[in-house]
Amino acid sequence: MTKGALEYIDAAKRGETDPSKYLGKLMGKLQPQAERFNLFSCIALEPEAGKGAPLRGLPFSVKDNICVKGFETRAGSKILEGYRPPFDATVVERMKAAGGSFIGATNMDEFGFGTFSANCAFGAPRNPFDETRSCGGSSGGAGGLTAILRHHVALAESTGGSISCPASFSGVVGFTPTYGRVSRYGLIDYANSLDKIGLMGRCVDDISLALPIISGRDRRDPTSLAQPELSLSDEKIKSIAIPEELVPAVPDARVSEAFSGAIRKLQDGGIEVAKVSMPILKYSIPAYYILACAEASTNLAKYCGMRYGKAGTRYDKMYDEFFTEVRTQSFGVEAKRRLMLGTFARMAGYRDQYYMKALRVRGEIVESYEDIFREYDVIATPTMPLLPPKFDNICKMSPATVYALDFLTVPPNLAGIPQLSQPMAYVNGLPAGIHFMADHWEESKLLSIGRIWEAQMHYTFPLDLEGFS
Amino acid sequence: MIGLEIHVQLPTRSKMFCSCPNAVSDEPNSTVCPVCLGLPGSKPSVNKKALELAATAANTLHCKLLDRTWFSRKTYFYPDLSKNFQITQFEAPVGTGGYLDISGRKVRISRVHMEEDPARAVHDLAPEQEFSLLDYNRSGVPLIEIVTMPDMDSPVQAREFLRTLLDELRYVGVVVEGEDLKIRADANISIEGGERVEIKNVTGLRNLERCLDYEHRRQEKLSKARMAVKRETRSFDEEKGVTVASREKEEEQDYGYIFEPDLPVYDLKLLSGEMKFPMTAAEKAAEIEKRFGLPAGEAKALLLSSKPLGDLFEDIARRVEPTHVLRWLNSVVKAEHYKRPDVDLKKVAGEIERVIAAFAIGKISDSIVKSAIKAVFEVGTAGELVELELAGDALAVIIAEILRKEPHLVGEIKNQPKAVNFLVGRIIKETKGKYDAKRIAEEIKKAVEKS
Amino acid sequence: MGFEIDEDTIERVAKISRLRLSPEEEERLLCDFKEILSAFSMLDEAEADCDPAFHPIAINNYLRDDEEHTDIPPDDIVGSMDTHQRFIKGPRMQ
Repeated sequence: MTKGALEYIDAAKRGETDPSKYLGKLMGKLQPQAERFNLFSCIALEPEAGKGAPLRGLPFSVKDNICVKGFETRAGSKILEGYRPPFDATVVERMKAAGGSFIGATNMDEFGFGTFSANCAFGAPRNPFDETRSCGGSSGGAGGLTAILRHHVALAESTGGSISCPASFSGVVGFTPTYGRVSRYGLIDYANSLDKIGLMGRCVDDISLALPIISGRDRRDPTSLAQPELSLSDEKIKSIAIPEELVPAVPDARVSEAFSGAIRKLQDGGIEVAKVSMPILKYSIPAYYILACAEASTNLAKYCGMRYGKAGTRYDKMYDEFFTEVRTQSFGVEAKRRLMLGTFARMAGYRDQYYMKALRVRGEIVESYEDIFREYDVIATPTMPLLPPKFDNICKMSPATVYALDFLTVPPNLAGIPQLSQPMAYVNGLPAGIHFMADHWEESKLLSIGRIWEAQMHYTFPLDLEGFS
Repeated sequence: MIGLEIHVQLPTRSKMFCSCPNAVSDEPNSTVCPVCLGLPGSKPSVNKKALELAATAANTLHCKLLDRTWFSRKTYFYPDLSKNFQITQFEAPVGTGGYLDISGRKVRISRVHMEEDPARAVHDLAPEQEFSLLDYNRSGVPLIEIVTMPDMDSPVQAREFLRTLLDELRYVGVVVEGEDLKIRADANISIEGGERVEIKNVTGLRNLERCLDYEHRRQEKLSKARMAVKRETRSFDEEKGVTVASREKEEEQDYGYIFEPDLPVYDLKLLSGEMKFPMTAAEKAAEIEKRFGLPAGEAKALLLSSKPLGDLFEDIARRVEPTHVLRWLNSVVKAEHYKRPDVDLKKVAGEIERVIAAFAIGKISDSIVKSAIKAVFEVGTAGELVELELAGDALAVIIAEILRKEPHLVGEIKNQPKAVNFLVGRIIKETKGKYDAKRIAEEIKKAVEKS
Repeated sequence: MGFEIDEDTIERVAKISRLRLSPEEEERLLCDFKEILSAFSMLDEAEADCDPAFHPIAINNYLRDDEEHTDIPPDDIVGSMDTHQRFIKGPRMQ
């Protein structure tokens, strides 16, 4: 049964649909819904239908922190208002060359700072399953859009879980490749040693389709040069490991139950399941936030009212005053918080205890995962410890509380291992995701377990927009 | 006590972290790209040649090369910094613990590292200008920074250090001609019992010398007047030739160094093993001295003055007595070479060898060598000067030389045969009666008839 | 983690970050910092003997050949910036 993008591509191949006409009809249906759920930072007003194989005009969206040439790209922040990059990110170049049709930039937490996309300067995207709830973050717009479009692939990005979380909350499939698998050239940086561009789609096949297109070495991004060749094939999955310290920590019993049920199903299918101890993972949150914020605070230094983006008011101010004014006015609350936390963590006098220590802990965590993967094919946990929360509740959470909610997605992101989130259950109509992880470069294994899971899971989506009719 | 932090631009084709041309351009912002402009989403990539030159520089300065080296971000806010951080090297510089010998002193070099140049700010384009103007052509140009210990005693020593440093770096190709104008340095200078003053951003060797001279005198004056030298940062006013106190402390910066996460770690042990470091001038000189049996220290001055001259020496000295070759290359040949840089030494090498060889076997005198070399550079050959000597006719050579220098004599003698007598008398005097008058007269007649 | 985070620390960090905070924001941030750093203080007890992991995977030795080439005409980039006689404008520096 063809679901998702392949249904469109088959129709296009057979000549049953004309890409331009499809796109026109689709955008007509999409516009009001996109507005209703506030999914786009900027929608493409007159999108051009892509030509060529394999995508043949398949629509794709791009998270607002991935540069699209000539298109306003703001990374969810006021400080980049008006910025039109003079170049396409490598991934955008590759998607266009493969025949994709760019339909717009999706809403996100400012620079990626957030778990609920509530820190978006242009308003939080609303969950199509329930408009009073979050799509997740920071790729919230991408998640919500994937939940309502039948034939579409979203380019998204993850630093600490920003693909998996919205995949879980928005009830879609989210794929985070190994760090260094996909070129970051043209990605507006949050944390360069943690950022990964990835995909969201309706099914595992959507991911298998787009992953080879966006992956591969790019000499403009040296961190993409270490990868071995990507080769996707159906692999046998014999064993799943479950980190025993993490899963009991999930506060929402409904999520834990759904997870246990999912694991039992996989066991029934013949896969061996074992609990493993990974005590070092409890240091993931502090290590992650310290490293991510330290790097982010340097990445955000360039936004100062000069050269591009939001302009400073008057040049006749001395430079420090000029910089301070525009940054104070244009950065959001969470951006300022992380900026300051990061600056603190690398200041002389604090650097060893925070920044340097976090780097060592990352090393230990990577080693710990490598030990597990020597024995087991994949690791599984629930993706998020809660169901998509209401906005009313989100604004009551303290920063430290919010950070702590990432305890399932942060460890694999810190270790740079690939991750796959898929819907595992619907609780009172709200989606909850299961999270699979594999060793560095083992994207093929992940897609294999993904297909196994999908074979006996029925996904439901709140809307199914397409441009056939 | 003087210590220096010297910035040298590397002679690469492209910039440190992007493929923009590393070239001077009249048009502002014409050799720029997303990387050196720091556009969001752009990423750096390291220039291989820059790394090689930096390692070569560190090696030349006797540094220990680090096994692993990497880059760091130095974050501070300034309009000439396109990303508001500079990619530099903090805890892992390419080389540490080196030195440079100058007369009577070993100046220790604490580190050599790589970094990128910031942009150039212009402040005086429009008179009532209420903004700065930035040209990012320079942004991203590869630099090495060389930091010394405060081992220099005086501006004179500092001057010698800098000239030697540039000569050594020029010899191994890290610096090219004209670079002395472009080097930038910060200097730390204090006098006995006094506080340390830092002078920032002095451009060019000449200005550095002037600046150190002035500051040294300023500190001495204060000291003599029993006034304290304040510990502070000053800058050098090129026009007036004085150092001035820097403006009030600017807004605080804490560089907050982190590892540059967009770039790899470099296994310098492995990479430098693959590189063939050129011999330093000192090493080459020692090797030549040993090979040709010269006293220690003699070859270095020649090598440092010009690599082509050094090569010429090595060639000729294989066949002609090295001490003679060294002497003449270091004097007349060097002088002529500087006067006429357009003359290709390789082309005239044969003639130069012929002249020196003749001298070496005692066939021509000092003054003939000088004339002959001049002739080689002027017309490409020493012609008959050498021939006549080799043929053993020293007198004929003397006469030919005189006539060459004073061609009017030829005409005089032709018209007035008796004029020969004056010339004969002169030559008897000059040669202290080595030849008899009759013979001299005959030779003169012969030479005049020929010309 | 063994030292005091107080208003002075917050003020200093804000200055270095080129941010101006209102008194309420300063108070809020001090509170946040204290809560967050207290939660992070467990990092002190983590036993981490290995080398600092600059990246989660090994990335070594990639170098770019020293060739010049221009992918985007500089005018396409600088053309949309605020310029004066081709120089890019910025705030006063003196």
